[in-house]
Amino acid sequence: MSDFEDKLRSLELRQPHSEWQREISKRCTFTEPASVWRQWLWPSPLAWAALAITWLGLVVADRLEKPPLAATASSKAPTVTSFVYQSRDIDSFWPLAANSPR
Amino acid sequence: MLRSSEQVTRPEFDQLYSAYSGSVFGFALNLTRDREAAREILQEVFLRLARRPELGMPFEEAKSWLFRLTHNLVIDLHRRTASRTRTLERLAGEPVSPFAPHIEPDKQAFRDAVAEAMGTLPEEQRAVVHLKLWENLSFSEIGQALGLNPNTAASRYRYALDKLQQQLRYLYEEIR
Repeated sequence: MSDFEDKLRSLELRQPHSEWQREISKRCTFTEPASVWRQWLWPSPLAWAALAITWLGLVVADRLEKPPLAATASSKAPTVTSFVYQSRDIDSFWPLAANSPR
Repeated sequence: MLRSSEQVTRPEFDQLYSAYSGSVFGFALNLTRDREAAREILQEVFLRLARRPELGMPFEEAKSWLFRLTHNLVIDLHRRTASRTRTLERLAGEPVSPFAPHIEPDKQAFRDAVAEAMGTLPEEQRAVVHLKLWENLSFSEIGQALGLNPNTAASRYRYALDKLQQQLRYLYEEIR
């Protein structure tokens, strides 16, 4: 840039009065800033939707893999039956224990 | 970054005003030479900006948008007042210089001379000179702001600068 241009450029321009900012902002309608939590937890609705769909998919897959309810019940029966027999076995020892010499 | 679908918040408005109000006002004042008109244009620019921030625009691009809006508002103002020009010329006071006053008489004299010389330029040339010298825009950015081809902007700038040099040579060489 030439010397003449530099000389022109060095001239300071008038600035708006400082009071005008307040007057102008009074006439504006502003939106409230988003809360910190909202900004932190809801940056991307798409990400949250993808997460929800993934979770639902995992729940459905888990349900499909589990055995039916009857099979589940019958698998518990041997355990319960075994416990009952063991209890009877233990009880059968008590009379013997009661009659044992001291 | 200016967001697209929401109004600005108060802190965002304050930030935008701090960044650009001087540029908008200076440009409007240089074109209108009327402090009150420049003030109204400044107000209108920022009212519109607060209502409808431009679409995801970085701050650097916002400047071109702001100058384009300011220029359009100046044109609208001139159209509205065109029919009253003669009356206005009789009643209006001295055109206001776009430059801040200086306490040294020699420098103030140079500022007054530059302001007067700028006032003799056609408005299109004055707009290009202002954006080139005091806002440091490229001719491409000036073209975007004023709706011109960059080559046209460059031509107008050269013509305007030659005129200013011719008018101010005597004074410029004295104070150089």
